[in-house]
Amino acid sequence: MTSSVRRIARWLWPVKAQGVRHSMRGKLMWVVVFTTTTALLLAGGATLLRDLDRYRTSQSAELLTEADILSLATAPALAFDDRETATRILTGLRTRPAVLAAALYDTQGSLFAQYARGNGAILLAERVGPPGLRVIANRIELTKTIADKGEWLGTIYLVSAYDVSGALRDYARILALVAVLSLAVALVLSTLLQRALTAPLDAMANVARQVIGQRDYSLRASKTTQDEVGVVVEAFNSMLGEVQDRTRALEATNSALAESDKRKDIFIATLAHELRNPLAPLRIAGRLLASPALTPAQLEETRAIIGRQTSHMALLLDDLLDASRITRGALQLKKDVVDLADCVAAAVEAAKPLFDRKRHRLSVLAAAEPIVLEADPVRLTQIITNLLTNAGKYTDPGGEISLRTQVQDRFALVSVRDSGIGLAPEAIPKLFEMFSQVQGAGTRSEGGLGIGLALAKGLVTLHGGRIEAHSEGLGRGSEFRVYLPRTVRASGAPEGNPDDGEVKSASTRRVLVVDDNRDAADGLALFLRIAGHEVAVAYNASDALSVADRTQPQLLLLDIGMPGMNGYELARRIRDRPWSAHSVLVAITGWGQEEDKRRAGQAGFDQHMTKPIDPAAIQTLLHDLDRG
Amino acid sequence: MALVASSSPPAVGRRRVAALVCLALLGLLVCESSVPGNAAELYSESSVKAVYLYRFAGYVEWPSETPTPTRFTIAVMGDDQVAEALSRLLPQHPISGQTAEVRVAHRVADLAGAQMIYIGEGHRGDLRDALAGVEHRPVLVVTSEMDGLAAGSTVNFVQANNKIRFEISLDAATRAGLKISSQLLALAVRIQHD
Repeated sequence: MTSSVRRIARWLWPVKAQGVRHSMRGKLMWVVVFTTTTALLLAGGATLLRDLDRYRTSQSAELLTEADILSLATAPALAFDDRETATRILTGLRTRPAVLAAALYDTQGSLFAQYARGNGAILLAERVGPPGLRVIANRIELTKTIADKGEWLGTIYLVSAYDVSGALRDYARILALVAVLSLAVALVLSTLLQRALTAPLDAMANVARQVIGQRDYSLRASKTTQDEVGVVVEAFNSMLGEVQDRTRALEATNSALAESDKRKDIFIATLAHELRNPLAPLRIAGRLLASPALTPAQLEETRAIIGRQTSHMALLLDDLLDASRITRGALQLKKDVVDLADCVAAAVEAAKPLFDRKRHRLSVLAAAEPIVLEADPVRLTQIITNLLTNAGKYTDPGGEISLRTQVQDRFALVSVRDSGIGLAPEAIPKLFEMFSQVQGAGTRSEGGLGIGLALAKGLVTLHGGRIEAHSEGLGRGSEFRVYLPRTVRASGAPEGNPDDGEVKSASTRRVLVVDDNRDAADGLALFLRIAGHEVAVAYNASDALSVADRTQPQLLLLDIGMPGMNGYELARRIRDRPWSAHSVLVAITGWGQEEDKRRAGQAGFDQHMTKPIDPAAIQTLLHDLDRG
Repeated sequence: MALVASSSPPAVGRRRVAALVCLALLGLLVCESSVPGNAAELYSESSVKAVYLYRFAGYVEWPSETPTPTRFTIAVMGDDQVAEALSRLLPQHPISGQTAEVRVAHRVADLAGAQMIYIGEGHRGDLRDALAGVEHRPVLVVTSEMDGLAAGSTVNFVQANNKIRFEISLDAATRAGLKISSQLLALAVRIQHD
């Protein structure tokens, strides 16, 4: 039964739902089969009982009728004691197959006449039994008195077949047939009807499978109904949409991170390379200095090598730090009213060694009238220098480079054009990103970290301006334009920059330098002594305290990272001394994080400087001390 | 019945007789018509004939135009025992809804006015003469002669297999204007018909 039904089910519904062990269709089918079968059995059982009762009633009624007819027919025979006629009449029952046997008894209760069907399987009693209708096994027996015109003439006894099992068999056959037909009809009907129910579910399940299988979140289930399934489909679709959006965002973030990571990797490799390059000449210079047979000319040459290489390294590191500051938003501009021409001149001066080396020709086309800007002169010079250096790097030796300044509306325009390798159009948008270097330009590269343009852009943006790159294509040169907002303020004489080389005369200060790195401490002390200050040096915190108590310095330059007592603790102790009320405490750290600055402030420091110490910064500090 | 009793062992026979008596008594109690159940009468020929005469009336239809007498009279001639049996039977058993009575006829003239006439074996004389008076009249004539039907009677008792049977003359019934039930005809040992 079960397997045949399954086969029929397979035939009706070809299995489509892979991976679904118990499909909705199957369950619905079983519901239909189960309910239909149960209903059929119940209805069939009830009908069976009723029909059996009816069968019994009808058989009994038939037998009673038979008895009545026979009574009428045999009454005269009984009345006139005519056994032959009575027997003849009973023999007429041959035409009634249902009647198995019949007997007549006279008023004495004795057998008067009899009839038995077939070979007389039923033995008739010689004596009459009690009147009434009895069902015994598969027979119905009826014993009934015969009266005519109010006169009792005798008793009739009839036996009729009561074929319950036959009736049951017939009934079971009919029931089975009806059940099979009903089931078939129910299955066909439910197949047709359940499509409306399962089709949207199937569609959604298919979409779900595809989504899981292919990770394709752009798929959507179609909503065909307004019922609960429709609601589920809608929710499912909106969840897919959510997943799709998030996946997209994640992928975008991932690829951005991967790109940035890759650039950083390249950058680190480049950085290592760039930092290593000046080391070789420095090492040679160091050996040369150790040689006793060094002529003054050779000594001078060695000194120049060291100067060049260290300043190159310093430039690299400055760029790096500036880039980092810009990225962190930690770079502060020191704005002033400046003449653009001054910055251009400084930049041209800075780029001159490179241009000379590569025999580039530089033409500077300045605007007729002076262009006055409110800008950080150092940073502005840095921007122009970066552009010039960039042009010089990516132009073959003997190239033409022109620098032009002009006024365009409210902007000052600085453009640097070269006859270099040019730019592919697709490279332009990424040009100003950190660590990006033009691919394939490596062979021409003059080194560098690939942060020059990014730095330039960051600085320009800080000034409220914009930077653009233009190129007619690879091999056709390129042009970089910087637009800076012009100050409308009346032009005043731009303030002279604090000069780097010259140490200006200042009033003598008592200074204490504390650093566990003796070279660093001594170097800084030497520089300050040259500037004319009284300098004490200590190499650890406890020494520093005693020296400070003795000398009571006005300026204290304290290293933070020292063994034993660190710079913060030292600063706190010094601040406990009454003499330090007017002293300036400067923290010198390797880290420029906001957190470090905050801690320095808490410990009592007035200022915070990041290693390596720029002598100019110290100079400015001392200058400020003079003024304040 | 006697046959059954004699073929059984005495003890069983006695018990059967006792059962039979009980059944007869039960029959008397249950059924108002106690007469046919009376065993003593049943086995005398006169009783049987008396009962049969009574029962014949049930299977015969008298013409309806006949002025209905208030009583149903059976005239008996030549058999006093039958008359006596009837006189005991009829008071309790009306015929066709009428009170039935028996009239003992000693002469032919006494037969006049009865609905049914029975002329027994004790009658000495020509049967034809006796019946001449009732010819063409709605009277059921029952005889007990060898050639009763030929003499003009409608029903005639005969002996067959030690039992009392009867023969019927349809011609006589037609002449008398009587209709005899086919059920009764079915029981007749012979039916005389043209």
